[in-house]
Amino acid sequence: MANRDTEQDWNDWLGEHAGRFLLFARQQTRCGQDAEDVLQEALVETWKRAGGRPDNALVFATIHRRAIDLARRTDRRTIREKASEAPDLFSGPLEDAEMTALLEQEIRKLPDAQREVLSLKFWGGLTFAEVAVALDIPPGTAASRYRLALDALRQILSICTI
Amino acid sequence: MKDEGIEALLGRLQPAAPDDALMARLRAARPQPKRSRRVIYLWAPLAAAAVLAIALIPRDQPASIAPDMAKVEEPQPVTSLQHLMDVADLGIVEDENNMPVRLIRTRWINEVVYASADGGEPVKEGRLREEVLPVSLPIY
Repeated sequence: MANRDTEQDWNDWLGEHAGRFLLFARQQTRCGQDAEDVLQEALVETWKRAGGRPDNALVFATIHRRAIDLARRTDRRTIREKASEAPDLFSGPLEDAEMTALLEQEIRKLPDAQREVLSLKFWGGLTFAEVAVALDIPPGTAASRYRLALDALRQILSICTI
Repeated sequence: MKDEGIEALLGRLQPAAPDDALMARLRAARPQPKRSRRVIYLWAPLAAAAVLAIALIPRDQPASIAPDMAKVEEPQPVTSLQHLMDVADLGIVEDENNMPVRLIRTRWINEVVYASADGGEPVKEGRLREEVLPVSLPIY
C-alpha cells in the first residue's frame, strides 16, 4: 500500500513539476537528450535524498550541478554537434505563436547567467534566496541578473513592437 | 514598457510540456523505497528475547503439582525452543502520544517436547506463532 502511495506521489510530483524542471535542464545543457538524462538523474537523486518529494530549490540546484558535470565529461566537438538539436523551450497560446517564438528567441540570446536566473525566478517559482542557493551565487547577484535580463528583453521587445 | 508589461508577456509563456516518452521514462525511473536498516539491527533484540524466553521455561516438572493434576494422562511439556523464522517490517504508525512506532511482524516456530506418559521416547510438537511487535523509533 505504501509502495503504491509512493508511486502515486512520484507520478503526481512529475505531473506538477516536470515541465519547469525540464525547462531549466534544457537551458543548462546543449541538447534535448542531455537535458533528459540530467533531468532524470537529478530527479531520482533528490527524491532518494529527501526520502520523498524534495524541495524544488534542491532539484534545480542538482540539475545545475549535474549539467556542469556532464559538460565537463563531454568534449567541445560533441557540444557543437549537439547544439543545433535544441528543442522548444516554451509553449504559448496558439494565437500568440509569433510572439511566443520571438520571446523564446530573445530569451535564448540572453547571457547564460541571466537566462538561468530568469528561468528559476519566473518559471521555477523560486525566491532570490533560493535562486542564489541553486546557482551558488549571492542573492544580490541573482536579483541584479534578473533585472538585467528584464531590461534586455524590454529593449528588444520595444524595438520589435515599434 | 514597464517591468509589469514584460512580466505579463513572459507570463504567457509556459514551459514546454515533456513529451509522453520522457514522462514514461521518468515514471519508470521512480526510486524504489528502500527498506530501513533498522530492521537488520532489530534481529539482535529479537534474538535476545528468544534466548531469554528459552531460559525462563522450566525444564523439569514443577514439584508442587497437585496429586489430582499429576494423575491426568495428558502429556506434559518438559522443554520448549522458539525459533525465529521471519521478521517483516509492516510500516510506521503513531502511538497514542503521537510518537512514531515501527510495527514488526515476527513468525516463530515453538518446538515443544512432551514427556511420554509411559516413560518412552519424548514427543516433539511444532507450532507456528505470529506476533506483531511495536518498536519505538529513536528521535534525534
